[in-house]
Amino acid sequence: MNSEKLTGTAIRFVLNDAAFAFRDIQDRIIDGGLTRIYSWVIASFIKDGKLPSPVNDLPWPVSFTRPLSITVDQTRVSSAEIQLLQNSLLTYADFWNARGKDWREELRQHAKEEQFLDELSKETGVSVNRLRALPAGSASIQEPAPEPETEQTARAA
Amino acid sequence: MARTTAKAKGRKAIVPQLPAKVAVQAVDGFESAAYTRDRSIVWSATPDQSANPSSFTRAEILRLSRYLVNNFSLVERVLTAIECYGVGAGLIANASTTDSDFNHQASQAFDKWGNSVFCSANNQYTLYEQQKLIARELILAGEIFIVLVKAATGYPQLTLVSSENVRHSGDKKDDSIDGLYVDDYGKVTAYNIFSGKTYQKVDAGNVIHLLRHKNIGQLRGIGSFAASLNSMRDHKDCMLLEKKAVKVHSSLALVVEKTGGEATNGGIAGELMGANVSVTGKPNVGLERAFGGAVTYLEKGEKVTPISSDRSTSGFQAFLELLVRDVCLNISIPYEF
Repeated sequence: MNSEKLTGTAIRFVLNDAAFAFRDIQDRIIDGGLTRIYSWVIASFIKDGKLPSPVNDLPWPVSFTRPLSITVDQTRVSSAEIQLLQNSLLTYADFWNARGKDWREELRQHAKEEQFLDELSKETGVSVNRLRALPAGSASIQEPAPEPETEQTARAA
Repeated sequence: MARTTAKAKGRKAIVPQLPAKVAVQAVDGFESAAYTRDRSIVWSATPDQSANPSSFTRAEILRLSRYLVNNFSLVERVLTAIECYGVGAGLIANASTTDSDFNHQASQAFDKWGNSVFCSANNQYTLYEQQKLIARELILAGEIFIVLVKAATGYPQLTLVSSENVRHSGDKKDDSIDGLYVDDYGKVTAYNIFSGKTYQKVDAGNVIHLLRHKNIGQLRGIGSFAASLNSMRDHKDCMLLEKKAVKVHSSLALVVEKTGGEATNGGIAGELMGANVSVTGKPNVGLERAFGGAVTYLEKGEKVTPISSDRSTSGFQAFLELLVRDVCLNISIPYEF
C-alpha cells in the first residue's frame, strides 16, 4: 500500500510478515479442507477401480506444494534454489510444483530439448555448447550486492 | 531544584498537589475492571455469546463485509492479495506414501480431477479456482462449507456453500443451532443447507466446515473484518465527505463582494453562465472577461477575491492512514504491503 518510505531491510520484513499471513491461510485450507478432499477423492478412485491401492501403505499420506513465497529478492531466492537443487536439498517436485508445473513433465521436456540439441549438433555440425544460449552449469545468476546502509537504517540500528 | 531556585528569588514555589479525595478505582485490585466515566462502558457478553453470537449479529457482520467488498477498494485488494499470494496457481497435492508408483498415479489422477470443472457439482470451477474462493470466504465470512457429493455415475464432486446458506429454517421443528445440528457433547452431526428452494439436512460426514476458529466451542465462523468494520465505514464516509468538500471548493473560482450586498447583472461576474449555454443575442461578456485573460473593470463597490482551497489536507490523509492501519492490523497483513 505505502512502501515508498521503507528501506530494503524494512520492506523485506514487511513482505516476510505478509508471507506469514498468507501461509496461515494456506495451512487452514490444506489442513482443514484439501487433505480431506484428497483422501475422499482417492478413496473413491480406488473403490471404483480407477486407481490401485498402494503396496504396504495406506493411501492417505499427502503433502501440498504451495505457491512461491512473496519476495523482493527474486534473484537471490533463485540463486539459493539452484544451490539447494544442486545439493539435493530441494526436490524437483517442490521446485516445479511451486511454479504450478508438473516436475515430471518439466524434466521430460528438458530431456527432449537436450536430445534435440544433440541431434541438431550432429545435423549441422555446430557444437552443442554453441547451440546453447549459456553453457551448462555456468553461473548465470549473480547474487545482488547488499544494499548500502542509508542514514535511516543506520539510525534505526 | 525548582523550589530552591524559587525560594532564592523570594517567590513561593508552586507544587502540584492531587485533590485529597481522588482515589484510584479498582475492583479486587484490578483497575481495568472498574467502571469509570473517563472511558466508554463496555456492556459484557457471556463467553458463549462472544464465541457464538446470534444469527442476526453474524449475518449483519457478513452483510456489511460483503457490502464493503463491492464499495471499498481496500477490502477487495486484501482479498485479491490473499487469492494471488495464498493460492496462486493452486495448492498442489503430492501423494507421499511409501509406494512411489502409487504416488505418481495418485498425484496425477488427483490433479486431473482437480483441473477439470467436473470436480464441482455445478461444472463451474476447477479445484484451483475453488481454492481461491475458499481463501476469500475464509477471510470475508470466516467460514465456508464444502459439500462432498457424487454424480449419478459415482464421480466425486464438490459443492461450495456460502455462510448465508447454512441457517435455521425458521420451522418450529428445526432444532438446529444457527443451521448446525449438535449432539449432547457439542459435536456437529448435520448441517441445514438452503439450496435456493428448500432446506436440506446434510450429514456432517459429507460436509467440510472450514472456519477460522477464534474461540473454544465456536460453531460458526466470524468474518476477519469484524473488528475493523467500523473503521472501514468511517474511512469510506470521511472519503465521501472530503471528496464532496473538494468538489465544492474546486467548483468555486472567485467570490465577488459587493458593498450593497445585492447581486446585479453587471460587473465582472454578473453575466457568467455555463460554457455550454447557447447565447442568443446578448454575448456572454462576463465569461469572456473572467477567463479570457482580459483587463476587467469592477463596478463601483465590488471586490473580487479568488478562492484558494487547502482541502484535502495532509492531516486528513494521516487520519485516513490511521484507519487503514486499523484494518490491516486486524487481518495481520502489514499496512505497507
